[in-house]
Amino acid sequence: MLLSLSGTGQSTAKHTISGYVKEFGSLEPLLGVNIYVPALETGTTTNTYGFYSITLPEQSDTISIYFSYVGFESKEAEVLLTKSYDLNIQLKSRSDLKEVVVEGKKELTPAEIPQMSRIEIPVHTVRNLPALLGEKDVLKVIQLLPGVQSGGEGQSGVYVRGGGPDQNLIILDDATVYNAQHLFGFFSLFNGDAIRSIELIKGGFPAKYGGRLSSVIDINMKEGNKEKFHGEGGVGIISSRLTLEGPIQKGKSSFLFSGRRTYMDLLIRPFMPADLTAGYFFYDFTAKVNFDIDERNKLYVSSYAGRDKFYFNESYDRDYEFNSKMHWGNFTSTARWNHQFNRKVFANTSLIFSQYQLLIGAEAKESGSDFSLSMTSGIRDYSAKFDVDYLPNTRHSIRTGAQITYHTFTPNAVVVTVNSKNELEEIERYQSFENGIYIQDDIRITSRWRALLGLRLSNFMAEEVNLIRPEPRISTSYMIKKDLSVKASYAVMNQYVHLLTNTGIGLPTDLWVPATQRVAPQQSQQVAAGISKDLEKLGWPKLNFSIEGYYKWSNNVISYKEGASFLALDDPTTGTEVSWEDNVTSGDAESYGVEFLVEKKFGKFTGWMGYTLSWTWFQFAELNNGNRFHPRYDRRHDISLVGVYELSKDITISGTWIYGTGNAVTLPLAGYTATGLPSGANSTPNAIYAQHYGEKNAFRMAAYHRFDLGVQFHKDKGKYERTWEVSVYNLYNQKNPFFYYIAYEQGRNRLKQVTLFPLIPSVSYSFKF
Amino acid sequence: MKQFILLLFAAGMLSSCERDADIPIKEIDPLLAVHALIGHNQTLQVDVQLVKSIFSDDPDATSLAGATVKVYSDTAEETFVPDALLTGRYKSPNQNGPLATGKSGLTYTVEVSYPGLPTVRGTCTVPEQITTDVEFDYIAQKGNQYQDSIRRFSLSWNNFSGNESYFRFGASADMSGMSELIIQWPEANIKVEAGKQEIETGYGILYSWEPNPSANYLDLRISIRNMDVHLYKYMRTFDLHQFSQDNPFAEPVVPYSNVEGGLGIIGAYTERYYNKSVY
Repeated sequence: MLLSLSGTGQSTAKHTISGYVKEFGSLEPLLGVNIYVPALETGTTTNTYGFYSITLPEQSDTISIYFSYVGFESKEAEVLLTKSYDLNIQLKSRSDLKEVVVEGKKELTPAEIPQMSRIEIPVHTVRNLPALLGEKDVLKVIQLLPGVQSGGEGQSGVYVRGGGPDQNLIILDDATVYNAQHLFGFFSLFNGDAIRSIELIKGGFPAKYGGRLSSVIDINMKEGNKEKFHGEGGVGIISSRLTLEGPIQKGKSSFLFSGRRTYMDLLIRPFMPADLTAGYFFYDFTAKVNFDIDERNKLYVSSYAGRDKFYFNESYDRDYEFNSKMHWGNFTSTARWNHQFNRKVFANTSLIFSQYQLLIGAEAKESGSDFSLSMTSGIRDYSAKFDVDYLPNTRHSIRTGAQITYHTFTPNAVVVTVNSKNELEEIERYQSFENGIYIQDDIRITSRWRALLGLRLSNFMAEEVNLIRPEPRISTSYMIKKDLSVKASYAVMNQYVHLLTNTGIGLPTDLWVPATQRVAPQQSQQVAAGISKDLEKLGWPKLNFSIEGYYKWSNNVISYKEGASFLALDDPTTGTEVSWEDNVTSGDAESYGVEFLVEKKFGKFTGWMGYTLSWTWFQFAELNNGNRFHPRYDRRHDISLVGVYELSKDITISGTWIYGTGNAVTLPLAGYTATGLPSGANSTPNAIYAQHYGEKNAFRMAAYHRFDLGVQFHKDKGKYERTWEVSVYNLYNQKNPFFYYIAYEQGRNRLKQVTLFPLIPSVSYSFKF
Repeated sequence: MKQFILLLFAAGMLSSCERDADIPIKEIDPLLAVHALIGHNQTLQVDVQLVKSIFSDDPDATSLAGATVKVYSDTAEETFVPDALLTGRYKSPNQNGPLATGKSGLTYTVEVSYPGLPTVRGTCTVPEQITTDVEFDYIAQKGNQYQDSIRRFSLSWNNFSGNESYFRFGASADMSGMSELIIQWPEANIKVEAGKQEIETGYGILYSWEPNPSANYLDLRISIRNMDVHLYKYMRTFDLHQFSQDNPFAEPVVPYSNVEGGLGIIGAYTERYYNKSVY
């Protein structure tokens, strides 16, 4: 490999063309743009910052380089390869074109893209698809992809290839987001107006990512329009949002500010009695500034702050006042510096802060005395990250880097004050370092065969733990024909942080905790193989078909023990006070399946059909008597049909239909009197009413399915554009079960189901200028 | 369009959010639940219930008369007879016979059959008797205005067998002769690894009352039971089931059973009591 880095061994002079690919009009960098040189059958892609570099042998004639990107008009550049030079390209968004443009030149099809298990979700798709109460949600669109599923009705939690929601690395501008959900999981944190790109990786993970077992969801914020002031916003049933962006110095620097707030609390306030106030709302803000210091240096600073607030206050005359609250939210901040050392070497340095915090508080004042209780839990990270892209020639694209993260976990901090004096202060805190270094090379072995070879060394250091684990990553693809390729990958992942959750629905009480001597880190290995086929020759132009199979096995996956929950302070079986470590048990997980995807990315009608056939098994020595069982989110069949049709330039129709096998749950089968040993010297044996459950999660809830429909009416009003959207969630009013319970009615026990969301219409108004 | 939207709203509002589940429920066939907790020198008795599906017309488990209950030990075999006082309970027909009470060191098999139902059985071995003495520390801590007083103690002793063992501790206290104030500590199940010679446990309880200044000593009564592995596993799930059933966030507890083909427990134990006054 080292020999080949120096060149191909031939004496032909080589020249490097490098530069940035940006969006026309806003100068937003475009990541993942395909750059292809047909004459030489080679190419590359832009990195996260829109930078590319391609080194080609000298040519006597001009040659064409094609730049193509989903949702953008492709561009061809004629270049004369007699010297190295910079070539910056701007691509026009198709949404800016007044008519739908028929694609002209070369677009790379999935069959030609080497990496597997990776899907880029266009932001305009998120905006076009119908959503619950009109709230556009990135994570819910990700749930529509094969291999990905939701946990339950309306939930934003993402389950990828049998992994839990804690096993997804969700990154916003390099910062890890620990709880990506608002309103108990019904809405995700991310305001689509502020997002530039969304990428999901389910397997074959690039070596730069680490720390989670199942997936990477890498989200980048917009940078802000560098050319002109621009704004967009909207008013919906439960929230409103506004985004403003524009140049600070035209062409050189820009800002972006975006905010969103719900107003259910404001709407119900007039109906509250005078001595009582209660409500709930969430908000989030995103801000970003960036500066092109010079041609080689760029600086970006971005922040996200989101909070959910629930409060209940009451007071009776002057003597009594009681206030309680539950607040939770994330705060992230990232400063990034891009430096281009030369045409072949690009580096980024990031300083990152991320925090998730839950606060439960109550205070009472009565007749001159006061009492207050506050309980907090959360996680706080400080990180530094350094990444280098080295593109020595067209055969190698090398990326290396390192990251160091200092975690502070606070599973529990309780402060009690009485008459303004601290009566109790218990703070449980853990500190740890999580570090990683990596190197990977994207090798074009031949014009048809590519391989991505990577190695990550991860390290975790805590009080009694110091682990170093190698994580090899291999992906390879072979293009059998221009429209048909086969791909395979293998990846080892380690996860040093665990999420303690009982419900899997994203409650704010879910707790992040570190690996310890007693609770080992989770580890997984995944192999995947697939075929990608362009269906144009079969008479279906612009359709791509892919099929992927995977097998993943994980160990040290954690779960609450039977009977345990975050409320358990004492172990009833030993009588001793328990910590979170006492409440959990670890076991193995195994998941395998096949994913089918047919997608159409271009034209008036776009969308995809996805189908996943999968199995997930858990085995824990301390659960289900040691027998294997399916986790709640094991789903045999998962289907999603997604379509967006541009009826005219003023009307867009979109629809989604999803179907999923019901969740696996545990239901009582029978009841009986269980006899236990008598207490102490008491001679009467204890007896309780016990329920016989059979095997854990042996019962299947009814299959879940629903159809959502949305129609958008666009109008250009001259100074601004507006869109009215009418959408219906669950159009045919399917009564999907959220949970079951048993009720005694009419002389016998009956299984009752609770449905959360029947048919829900919504209307929203959006504008942009 | 306006009418269409109004129609959608109306349909949504009229939708019921709670109803009978529309899925086929596979009811379990009736099965036997057998409970036999065999203590050293304790009367050997077997309780039998008929358990039916929770969705059947008569879902309550019934104590079952008419079952055939056979008990085997290393040295004897008997068919038990129904207890005259309690339906569903079976005892040895011979009050002085070898199977009238449990004996440390012996292995017992209980087999129960009933017409139309599969025969069920389970086996256990009564552990060794406890021979070593116990040391314990007692801590009483007065709570503040908003906290209850805490009474906590810990035990330590040598694991006499040296093998992997399973113990259950219980304690109660009589407050300075004030018999109406009985403290009952929660019982604890402890597994002791093989080769470990000393074990400790500790548990506490919160009480809302202020300690009586005149109550300057406690009469502690401590029970220690040496259990076989089946009874240990069963008692753990028994306690968990009992304490978690009111917690909606707790994972369901599957009660442990070693009854092949049925429910319940065939478990064994020996027990010993210690009295101690704490000042």
